[in-house]
Amino acid sequence: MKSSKEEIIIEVIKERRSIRSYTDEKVSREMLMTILEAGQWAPTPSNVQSWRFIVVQGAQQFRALKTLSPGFPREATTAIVVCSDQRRTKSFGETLSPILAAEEVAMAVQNMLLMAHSLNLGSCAVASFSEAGIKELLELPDEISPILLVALGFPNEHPIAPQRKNVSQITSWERYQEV
Amino acid sequence: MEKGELFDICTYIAASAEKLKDEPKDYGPLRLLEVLNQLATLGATEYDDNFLREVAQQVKEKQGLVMTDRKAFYDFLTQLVIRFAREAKNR
Repeated sequence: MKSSKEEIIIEVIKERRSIRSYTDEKVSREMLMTILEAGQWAPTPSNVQSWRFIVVQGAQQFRALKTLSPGFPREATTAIVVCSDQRRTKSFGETLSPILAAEEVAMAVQNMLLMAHSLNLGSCAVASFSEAGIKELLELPDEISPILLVALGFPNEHPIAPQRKNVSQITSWERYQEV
Repeated sequence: MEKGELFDICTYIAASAEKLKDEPKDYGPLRLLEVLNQLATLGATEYDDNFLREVAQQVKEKQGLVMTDRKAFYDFLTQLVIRFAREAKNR
């Protein structure tokens, strides 16, 4: 028998969609703080917490961010630029450090997307942006790398879930098997 | 058209050109469609052009197909070009 916690979590996970059409309504600071806190509580290897979150909502800065980010939904009203501080990850070595940064950011972003959905906001994780352009715009120091953008706003669409594979098609037990 | 709008489109094209070298090849047509959408939207307002207005609306509706149905996306591109060709004969 499923607990209510289990049911709520799977519902939020399955209902969340990448939203590309938004209304004009602004996202409140209170909502943003809730989303940021969810991100901050993501798993973090060795408690390294290399995340840096930069919220962009101001008209001029936001407009510039969108033009430098080809994959960013034009109608979204807020961006969270999720960065990694290389000073926090460098002890993992040159090879592992960028992998760890991507893993940490990805887990934080998923938390944010789920929290945004639970607040009835739309969201979309965006990897398609000019890293050099965003670094210049946000005046990021060399050690701070933007890894993903989170677009936020109130949804103006409710996309149908694309088909997913059955779990059995991607899972084997005890050892790898072609499925 | 405002000076800032033209600047935004130019910035978008520069950022897309830089980023596309690392992205799936389907994103090239997608970025061009987005620029078409932005230019058609501006043109529709500037010249009260219904054809461009309809194109902008259609592009907005269909460009997301690249993520879910590639065949439908490329069929749409072909139909879009045919539509432009028909329109060109009457301009």
